Amino acid sequence: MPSLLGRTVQTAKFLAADPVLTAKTGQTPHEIVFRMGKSALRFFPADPEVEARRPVLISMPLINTWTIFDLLPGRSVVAKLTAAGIPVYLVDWGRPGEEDEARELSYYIDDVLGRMFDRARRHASKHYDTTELDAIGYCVGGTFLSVHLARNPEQAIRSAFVATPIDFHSSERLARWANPESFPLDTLIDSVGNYPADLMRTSFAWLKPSGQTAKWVGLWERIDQDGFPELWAALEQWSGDNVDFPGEAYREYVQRCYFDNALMTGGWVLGTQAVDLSKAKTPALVISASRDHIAPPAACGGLEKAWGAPCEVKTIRGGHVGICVGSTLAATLIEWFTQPEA
Amino acid sequence: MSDLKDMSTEMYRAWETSMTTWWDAILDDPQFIKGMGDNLSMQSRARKGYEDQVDKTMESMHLPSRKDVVRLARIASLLEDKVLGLEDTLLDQNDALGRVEKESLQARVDAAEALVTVQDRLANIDAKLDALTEAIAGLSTAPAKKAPARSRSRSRKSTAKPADAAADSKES
Repeated sequence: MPSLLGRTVQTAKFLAADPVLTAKTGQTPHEIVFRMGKSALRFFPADPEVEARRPVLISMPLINTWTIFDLLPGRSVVAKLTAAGIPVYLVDWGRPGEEDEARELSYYIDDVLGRMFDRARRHASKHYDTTELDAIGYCVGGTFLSVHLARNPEQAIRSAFVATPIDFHSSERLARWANPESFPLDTLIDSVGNYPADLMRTSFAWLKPSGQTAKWVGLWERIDQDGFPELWAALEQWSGDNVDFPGEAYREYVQRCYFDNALMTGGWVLGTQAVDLSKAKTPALVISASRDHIAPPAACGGLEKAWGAPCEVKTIRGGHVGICVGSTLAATLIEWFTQPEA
Repeated sequence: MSDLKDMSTEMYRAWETSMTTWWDAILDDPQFIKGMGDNLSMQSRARKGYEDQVDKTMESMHLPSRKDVVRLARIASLLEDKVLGLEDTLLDQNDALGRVEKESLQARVDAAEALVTVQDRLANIDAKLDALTEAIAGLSTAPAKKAPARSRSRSRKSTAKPADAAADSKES
């Protein structure tokens, strides 16, 4: 065990090499099989040595990059799924630009997700001789997926929602901040267009200010732990790499989800069709993180009340991001998607 | 040294707990939240004002402004949407063609199978006809030997009938 000074020197040396900038994430071999605007459908083939299972489509959050599900070798959800014989199609929303300001939420939920499912199905039919897919949604990507599946129940056989807020009024501090009396939603979007990534990053940092010091102390404490500094750097890179949220889509998302809590109370017409989670027919697994301050278990558990099909709820130890790099999440997903049909 | 580390860790934990309590009180205070919103609103207006001013300056210098570039990019993405729409139509048409091809192939397979069945049945009928022809041929040779016997029996029967008996008596 290094001395107090030795630990400090080791930490300083590690940081001096600029590990956050040089961290290599998203290393699992894959190919892009379809592009739509900024979005891309990334295909991770299943391990050919293992019996192929039903492919799964993953809807990632629009506010971050997709690499949190493929952070580092040994810490990759997609790599663990493919090793279990599950081919993965991952929806990477890309980086919306100012030309996407006017894109409405229905464009992402209906058009992009709809086409991604279609192209994944066509690809799977050629490569795995199946047109059936399962689906996973993470964070906001899960919220989008829940709405899409409720409107198109035929898209997936089974689904899993990881740290996905549904009952937004149970989002604790985030819900207290995002209320119509104090949050200048319209002024903000009318002025800046897209919701800026740096503002998003700052908001998340301020949600839990002690986390900002805790991460440095954590690095100092575990600098000698095998693989931890690399994981720390990769996580730092990912959490600092937010993307702009398209303005009009953000307006509708915050208005309907945070202000109105419409996924629980109803009355939301997206595009030309009402959003009604009770019309869902896909069995769902809700996975929440015990120490999640962005999508707390109570906010994720809303799906159980609103979902129109059988819904199972599990809580994993960890935070909103931490569960993605642990081993429990992948094991839980594999168990859910490989269990025999009822 | 380990004691020193433990002590510093303990001190940090105590500081973290007290800071968290302090931050919680501030960050959940409605007045603070309102102030944060007002500040955000002011900043975003200022940013818009600045960006508009930059655009106006660029325009006055006859240079393409950010808005012009965004407009072009928007047109490009709308065009891409149309291309994707066409791609969807093509894929649907391709699916429909695939279905027709599959159905026509199935129809050809069905027709070929039906032909084979008909040929089998014809072969069966042929075989039966051959057997019948043979049987008929066998019959056409057999009646020549049996005919006299039949006429004999008929003459024996005729003796028993009264009308025939009368005719017999006339002959005699």
